[in-house]
Amino acid sequence: MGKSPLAPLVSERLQQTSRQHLGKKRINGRKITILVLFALLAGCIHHLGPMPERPPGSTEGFFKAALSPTLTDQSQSLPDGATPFSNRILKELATTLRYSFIAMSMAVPAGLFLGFFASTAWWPSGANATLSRLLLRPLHLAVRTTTTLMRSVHELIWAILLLAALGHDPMTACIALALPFTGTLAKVFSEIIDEQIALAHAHAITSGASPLQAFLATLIPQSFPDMATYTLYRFECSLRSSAVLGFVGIETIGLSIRKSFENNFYNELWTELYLLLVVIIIVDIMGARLRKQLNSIAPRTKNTPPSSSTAERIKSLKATTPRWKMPRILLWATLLLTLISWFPGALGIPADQLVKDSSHIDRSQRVSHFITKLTPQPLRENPLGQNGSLAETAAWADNLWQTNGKEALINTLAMATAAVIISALLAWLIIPWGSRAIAQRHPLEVYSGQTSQLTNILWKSYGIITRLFFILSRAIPEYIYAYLLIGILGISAWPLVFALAVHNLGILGRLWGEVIENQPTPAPKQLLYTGSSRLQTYLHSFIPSSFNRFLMYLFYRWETCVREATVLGMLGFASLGLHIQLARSFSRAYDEMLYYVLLGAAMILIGDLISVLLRRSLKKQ
Amino acid sequence: MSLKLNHLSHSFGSHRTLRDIELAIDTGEQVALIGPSGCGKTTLLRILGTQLMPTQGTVRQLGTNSADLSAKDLKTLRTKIAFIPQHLGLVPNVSVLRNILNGGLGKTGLLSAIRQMLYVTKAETQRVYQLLERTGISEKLYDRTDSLSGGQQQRVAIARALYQNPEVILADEPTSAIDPARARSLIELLTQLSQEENITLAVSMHNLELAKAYFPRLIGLKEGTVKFDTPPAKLKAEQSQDLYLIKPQDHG
Repeated sequence: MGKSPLAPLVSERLQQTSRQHLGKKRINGRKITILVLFALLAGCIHHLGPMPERPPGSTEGFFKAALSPTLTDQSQSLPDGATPFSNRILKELATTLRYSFIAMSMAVPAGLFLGFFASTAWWPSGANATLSRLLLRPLHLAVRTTTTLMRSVHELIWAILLLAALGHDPMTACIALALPFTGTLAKVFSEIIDEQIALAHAHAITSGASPLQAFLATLIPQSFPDMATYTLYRFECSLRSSAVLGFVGIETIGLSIRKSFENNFYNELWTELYLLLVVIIIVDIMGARLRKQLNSIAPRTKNTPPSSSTAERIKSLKATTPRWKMPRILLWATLLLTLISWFPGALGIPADQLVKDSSHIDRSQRVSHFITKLTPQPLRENPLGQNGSLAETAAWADNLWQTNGKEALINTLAMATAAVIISALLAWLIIPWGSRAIAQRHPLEVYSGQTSQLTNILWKSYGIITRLFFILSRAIPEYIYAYLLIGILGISAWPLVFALAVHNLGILGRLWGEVIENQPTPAPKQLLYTGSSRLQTYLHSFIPSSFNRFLMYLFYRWETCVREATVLGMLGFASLGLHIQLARSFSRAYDEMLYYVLLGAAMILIGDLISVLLRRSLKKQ
Repeated sequence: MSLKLNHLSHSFGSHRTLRDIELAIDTGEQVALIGPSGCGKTTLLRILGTQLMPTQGTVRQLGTNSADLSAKDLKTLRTKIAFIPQHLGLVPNVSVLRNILNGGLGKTGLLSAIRQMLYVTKAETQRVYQLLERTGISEKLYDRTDSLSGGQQQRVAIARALYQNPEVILADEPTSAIDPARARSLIELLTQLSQEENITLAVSMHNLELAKAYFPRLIGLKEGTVKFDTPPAKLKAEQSQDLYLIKPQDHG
């Protein structure tokens, strides 16, 4: 990085100035945060212990196979007439997409509905409104609690519960995806609405509109770009979740990934991974494009011809209005694909029925049987607390806590925290290389002296490689990373931590990267003009001004990692997920399984609360 | 009598913004409110526009004391008063057409508002187009509002105000953010509309010369009190100079 000869002097002066003028409180805040992060990481490493020795390698050739994915079956012993490999995985990919579309088509309307009630922006205000507000408050609380409960149970766990209760229908898988996604969409939609600048809303009220009218006519259109962009991002997440459902037996691409890995058919495995990657990356790129178009003004391509009458002029104005193409194309494509997903038979596409024909008696029997097994053992005979069954239940719960629950909870928290901190530290190091503002020949378009064409190409490559790295690392679901890493590194906490960390790194790369790109440029430009290097500008301008937003995103990701960590344990490590898996598969003790699920949900609720409080106090700064 | 203030005072917490204001504005009158920053112009306009209820004294709009009104009647009163805030209050990412239609929300019901989100009738479009012709930006009918310049957005706000068919237009510093030539043409437009449609007009502004040129009545406000209330011809030089005088302890 080219430095002017004045740079050392300038940076010393900057440091002096920052010590004097920025004030002790602020500098200590950032330094303390980073120290706390390191301390927490050390604590987690200490708790989780060292990684055990690698088991003797049956996983040789795993990485070599990355270069030679196959399109044909690797198995030597397939029965005659079995579906060939390429057909099989394309079918599973189509199923993955289909379940995503169905789940999202249920989750989005439900999320909008619940999001409306979770928002306070449409509430009437003023002296006349006290009674309405009094009645609205409990409704608001009820909706927020419901949505938090819905999203605090991971979709994989919903799948396990619902498959046991309702049977193995495709619709069950879709509902398992739709439930937590509805909760998340409701929460995010209500936040987007409530955080809008409400000037147009206030004006509508001034001109006589009712609160509901003003809400529909001003806040909804204003919120639309963010809501649409987030919905597309959620769809991308639903693809990942849909793929992972394959690990509990549902016929999406995760199923093939698991089978190929178990059989050591690594070439097949890499084909499946690449396929999933390509689909997700396409959706990721579309999402970025949609966001850009919804938030900017379309270029004018046609001039309006003169016309004779008003009606004609209005018509020709409408026809020549500058419009982006992508939002419309996406909308129609989504509607079409959703219809096909729900009713494939209408187009003659062969697909499984969403709800298999089983008799009603069977299903309701199954549900009531499941609910019985779900009830804690002591309460089954005495559900209303007779014969001291409540005390017994408390003892039963306490026993579960002492034996497994406490340890599992702490392990889950430790894994999530370690993963988030590791990814944050790496992100801080890697992000500037991918920043379009910093990593270029003339950072922030501040002329930085003569450079060769080679330097120019190098800078561009750093940017492309870094951004590509982030895209790839967030495209693969954590569960699949974890599954593969456990196969390679053996069962312990660390493969799970690394899985979480890599995926999270990709997401932080995008979220934090956006924060940096959106920073106002005068301050860092001033540093560059006075001779600072890119590194100095990054450390002294970009990081301080983005720090609070970084932390906000970090807390949000910590919540998500805790959710994922509870589930990753199902792969064999003593976290909540393991006990859920054991209770389900080995002992069929659904009541114990419920205990661990509720424990996980409670932990996420508390984490959510902490995160909201911390984010609120950060916003105030 | 269109607008009347009696012994009106207003405080925000312990800060007294307006002190004992007596004011009467006739139907169809054009009034300019002049005064330095922080003198209470915006508060006065907001009280006139029913956005704020005064802490002391009474305000009567169109013959009724707005503090006495029920929610429904207050709504009806509000539809007759068009308030153009300084920040304009436009929805940035929708078309000009939609922003102007929002001016008519008070007069239609909830179902209409929902219907308008999906479909705008030809009649509504025609009416909006005609208003845009009057304000000089008819070609922007379907353009995204944030693609317009500041001055053009002002005109959208005025068209939105006209869509209400108001009896009163209150404009808070409409000229502060645009260049002198466009400011002049904007004030010309407002005063012309007021004369043609017999709409009461009250505009707050800083530019005394522009106010003198177009308004038959000037009200000077300083530190929450009315310093003068005269036609431009009778305005003395010391009166206007005193208004904007910065005393050593006053940092504005």
